Amino acid sequence: MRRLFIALALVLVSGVASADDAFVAGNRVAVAGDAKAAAADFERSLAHGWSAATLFDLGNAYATAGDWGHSILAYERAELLAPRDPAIAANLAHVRADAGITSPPPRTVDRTLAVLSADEWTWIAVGAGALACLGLVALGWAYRRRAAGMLVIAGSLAAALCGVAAARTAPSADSAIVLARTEVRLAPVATADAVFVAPAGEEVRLGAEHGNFFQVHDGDRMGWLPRAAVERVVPSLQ
Amino acid sequence: MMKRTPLLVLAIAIGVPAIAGAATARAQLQPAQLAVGNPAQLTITVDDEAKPPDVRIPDARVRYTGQMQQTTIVNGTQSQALTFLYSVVPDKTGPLDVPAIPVATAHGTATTAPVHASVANAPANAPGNAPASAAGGMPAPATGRGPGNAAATGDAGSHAFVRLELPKKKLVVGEAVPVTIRAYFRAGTSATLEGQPHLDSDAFTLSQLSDKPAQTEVELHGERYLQATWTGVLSPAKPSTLPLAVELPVDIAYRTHVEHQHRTLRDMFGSDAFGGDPFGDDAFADSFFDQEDPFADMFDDGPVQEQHADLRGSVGTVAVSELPVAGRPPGFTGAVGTFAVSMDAPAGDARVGEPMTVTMHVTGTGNFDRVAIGGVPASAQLKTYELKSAFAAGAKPLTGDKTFTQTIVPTQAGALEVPPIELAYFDPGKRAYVVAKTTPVTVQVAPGAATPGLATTVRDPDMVPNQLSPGEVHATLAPLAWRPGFWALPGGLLLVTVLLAGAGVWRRSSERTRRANAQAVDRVVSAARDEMHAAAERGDRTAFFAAARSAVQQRLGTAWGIAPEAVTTSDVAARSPDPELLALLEHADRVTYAADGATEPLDRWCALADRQLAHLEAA
Repeated sequence: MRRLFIALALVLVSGVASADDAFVAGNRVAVAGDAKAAAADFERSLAHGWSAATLFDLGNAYATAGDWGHSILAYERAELLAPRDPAIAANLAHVRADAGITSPPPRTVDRTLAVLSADEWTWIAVGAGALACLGLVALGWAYRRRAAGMLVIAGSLAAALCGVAAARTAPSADSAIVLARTEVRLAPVATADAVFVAPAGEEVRLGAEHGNFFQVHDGDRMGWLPRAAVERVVPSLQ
Repeated sequence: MMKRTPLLVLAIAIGVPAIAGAATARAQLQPAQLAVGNPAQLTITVDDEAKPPDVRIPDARVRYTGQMQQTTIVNGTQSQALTFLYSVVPDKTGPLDVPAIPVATAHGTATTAPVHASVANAPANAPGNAPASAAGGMPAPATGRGPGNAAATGDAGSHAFVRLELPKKKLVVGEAVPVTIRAYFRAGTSATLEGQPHLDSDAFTLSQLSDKPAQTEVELHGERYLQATWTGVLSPAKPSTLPLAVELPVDIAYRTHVEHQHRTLRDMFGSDAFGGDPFGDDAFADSFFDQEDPFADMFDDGPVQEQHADLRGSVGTVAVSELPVAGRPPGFTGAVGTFAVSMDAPAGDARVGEPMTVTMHVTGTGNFDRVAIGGVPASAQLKTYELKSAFAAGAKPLTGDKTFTQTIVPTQAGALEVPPIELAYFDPGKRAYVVAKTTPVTVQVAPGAATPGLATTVRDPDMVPNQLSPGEVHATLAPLAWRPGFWALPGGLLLVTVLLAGAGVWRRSSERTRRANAQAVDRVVSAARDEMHAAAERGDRTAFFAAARSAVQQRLGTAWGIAPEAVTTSDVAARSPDPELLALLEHADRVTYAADGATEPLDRWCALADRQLAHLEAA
């Protein structure tokens, strides 16, 4: 048992060490001007876990290399972990502009809700639910019934509203980024006619899958893209 | 006398539909029948603010040539349309499919419908052109003015015509020259433009056409005309020797003239207009009333003629030659004209790792859209970033200042020489290539800060450079709500809540039951005591002791948790050996089962029973 614990600890320590090593190596080659090598090092670092800083540096490396699709994908992922980081937002907007990607301005309600991340809204909802539970327990024990009743109502309402906010601010499971400029085809075959061209960095919604193709929705347009041409923003659902 | 006011109507409206709400985009390719190598014009019209979309067409070369903005006022409602112009040169025969093109507008993305055309082999001879100033197949209406019928859309003397003015007729491919297009509409003619002026030849492109024509009134051959003037830039796309004409689609309406006999004011008002001579000045009256009707020539009073016409104005044959291959410099990008290039001293803190901005200017006359320079090359002494350009048009057509800015970051301290920048262009006046150069600039670079080079981690100095600490590492990017393990927390919380609240409810329910049972026992005991006292007053020993025993059994049965009837004297002796209580129960047994004949008063037993019951109740 003791040996198993030591082995597990060594694995964990070596994992962290190699992640840090890759991160440092990535920055070293990035400073030296080798953006592609830096991107490879940052990707290696991310294999050990997701970090907003590593994703941000990865986005910078891909942007320097002129790879808009991977750069925007990295910034989008970094923004999931650090939604209020102005550096991420600034570089993402910069690269989007360079890539010619335009998106409609967010609605007022979405802009307001974006002050907190989906996880933060979720925790607030859980806290409000806990208060409602406390009120329920107090009601069960007939302890200060009036106050307990108010606590149940207020807590439940707050939990429901924060839950809705969390759902609204959470990234869509179908959201994906086009990695390179690709023709979107009418059917899931390579020889099908092109419906439109999806530029690198364009955000699309993934639909059905067929063979090596994803059905994608880009606004009102729809078509099929090769799997290799898109990548989900949240990769764990793949 | 009926008073008539001279009315000159010229309604100029560009045929763009006013569409409210979401932006729409339309694509049009002209001509529909294309030839390999011959440029066609693709127009994308958007009724909203937009940037030129990136257009890619399979098997064709596409080049953005300019844009036009048009304003339409219909019934007081103003709408604007933006038209982007592209030159499309097919590379092979067969169908040519222009895909749906997304255009990012201020109110969302509008997408054009796909356009399909066919491409044939280039003809041996370019298509001929109609003679200059000919009406586009339109029957000449009768005007009744002068002998014979003048064409409605001929040249001077007709109701409408158009002229194209070109500064020279010998050009080279890629050269840009200013052109002026003037359309003339005779006074009294109502005209509605059905589109912008366009060239009849696909060997030329017409761009930077003014949004709205400048309007002024002119007199030609004694006739008054309203002159609409457009300015633009003409650029030949391929070598040719062809007649060149401009066409302007227009709907015109005018009144045909009805011949009147020569008449004077005396004819109109009669010989005695004022019923005598009010002024007594015959000379004045005669001279006034004998003059011709001054308004007779201003109005045509016949029926209104309406017709569509393609006004056409030719400039004659234009010879376009190919740019010479011999002597073409390596950096030549197609710039044709006369240019000069200069470079400002780098701006910014000349320090290792600190970005500086180098600004280069190209001024002159020519096709600035093809003007490009290589920028400052990267070297061991400096890192360079992408070149950016901006163009400020000059007062005259085709003149301006194209500014290139580039960020450089010195990587070594000491003297840094920014090498000269070259611009290669073709001078059509000299008919030779020219390479213009800037003078080299030397900058003294100071040593950098403690952490130089971080700026090199981004492609643009406006971006935020790399972060040097990886920070917190997360196992997943998925939000909390997507992780199954997360739901254990609210689920557990809910479970604990249910258990705790249920326990509270159960406890309160048990308490209520216990109280209800105790109250029931109290009621039964109270009734037994009442019966006991009543029997004592009556002297009914049997009833007294039965009631006393029943009351004691109720109390002990409740306390012990067994049925009251199951409580016996022996149980009491075993579990609660109180002598008085035992005596009371034993005596009650004797009275009930042995029928003792004792006659002693019941007062002592009654007091004993009350005392024991009070004791049990308190216990």
